[in-house]
Amino acid sequence: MIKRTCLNDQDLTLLHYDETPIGLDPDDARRHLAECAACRARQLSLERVLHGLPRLDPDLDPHHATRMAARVKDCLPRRRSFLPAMTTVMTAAIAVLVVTNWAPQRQASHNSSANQQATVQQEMPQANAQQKPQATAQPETPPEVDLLENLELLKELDTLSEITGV
Amino acid sequence: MSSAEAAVIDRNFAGRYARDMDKVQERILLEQIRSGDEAGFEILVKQHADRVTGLAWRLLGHRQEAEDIAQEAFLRLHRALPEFRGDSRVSTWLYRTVTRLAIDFMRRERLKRRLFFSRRDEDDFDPVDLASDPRDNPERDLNGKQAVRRLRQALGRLSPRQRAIFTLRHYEGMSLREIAELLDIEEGTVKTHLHRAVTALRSELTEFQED
Repeated sequence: MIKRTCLNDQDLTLLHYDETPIGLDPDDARRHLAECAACRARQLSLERVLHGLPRLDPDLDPHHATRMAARVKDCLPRRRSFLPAMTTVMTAAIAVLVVTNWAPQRQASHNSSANQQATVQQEMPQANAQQKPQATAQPETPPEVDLLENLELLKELDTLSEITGV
Repeated sequence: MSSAEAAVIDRNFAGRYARDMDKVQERILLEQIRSGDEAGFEILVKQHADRVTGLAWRLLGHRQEAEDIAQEAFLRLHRALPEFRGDSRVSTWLYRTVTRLAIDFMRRERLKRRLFFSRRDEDDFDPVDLASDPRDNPERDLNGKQAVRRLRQALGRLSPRQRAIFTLRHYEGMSLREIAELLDIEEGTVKTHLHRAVTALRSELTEFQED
């Protein structure tokens, strides 16, 4: 469709940017421009201003991209790695189980040894009088030793250690 | 697996990607990033940093603000990657985000100026713009800097949307259809805004006429 009237400023602006004027066929608009001296003069005036605008160059230095990447990286949320925490938890759990399973047995063996030695000392009080009784070298058994001597409890602890593989 | 895919996956080639990654390479890189490859995201940022910052600077006219906007755009990209479908290129997504952030920033600045009578905008220039380059001819340099200053003043008087549309068309070379998609508005609206921006600039910048 050929526009019979001259092109308006918006048409000229859009044609300058190689865009289609609203409601016009771009080829028809350019044909009119070629034929109309008045529209050509207005178009030339427009182009002189737009071509004369200064460039806007950001003038970024060559290391800008690297700096921006580092800057963005610093702002990223730290990835939470659960592996170290899990490892720590499991190690602690294993340590607890080892201690709880080993300590009662050790206490039980110490107490058994202490009892035996006490019996020997009672039978040979004079012979051991000059010697420092070994029973006294043993650390004092905690009051809970009576409970730990409970065979049923020891069996349960053994079962637990079998389950956990410790 | 094609050689292009292998080259992308091989971390030894991380520093030797082509300047502009093609769509396949970009898709593979995005998959790596989604799998937890943070170094891959760093590569993505380096790929786009200059263009993104350049766009923000053209829109805002201030280097520090432009870099802040660019940083925010990359952080949003990082958050959006799990749901990033890849229908559009990363560059398109970044351009859209930067433009919207810049428009929001300009609107807030305008509101602050109106509320607090602040004179910050066209009179407050980026010192980097005003710094002289010893390589330049002093007289030409002065004219160039003054021309940029005048242009910035004139752009500052446009509405944020007009300023963005004019910058994207005139300085970034985007088509009006692309701009319409980027801003999620009708193409006819973009054309109207462009025309108004050019009319305003012409009335203010009559001295900028190409000889």
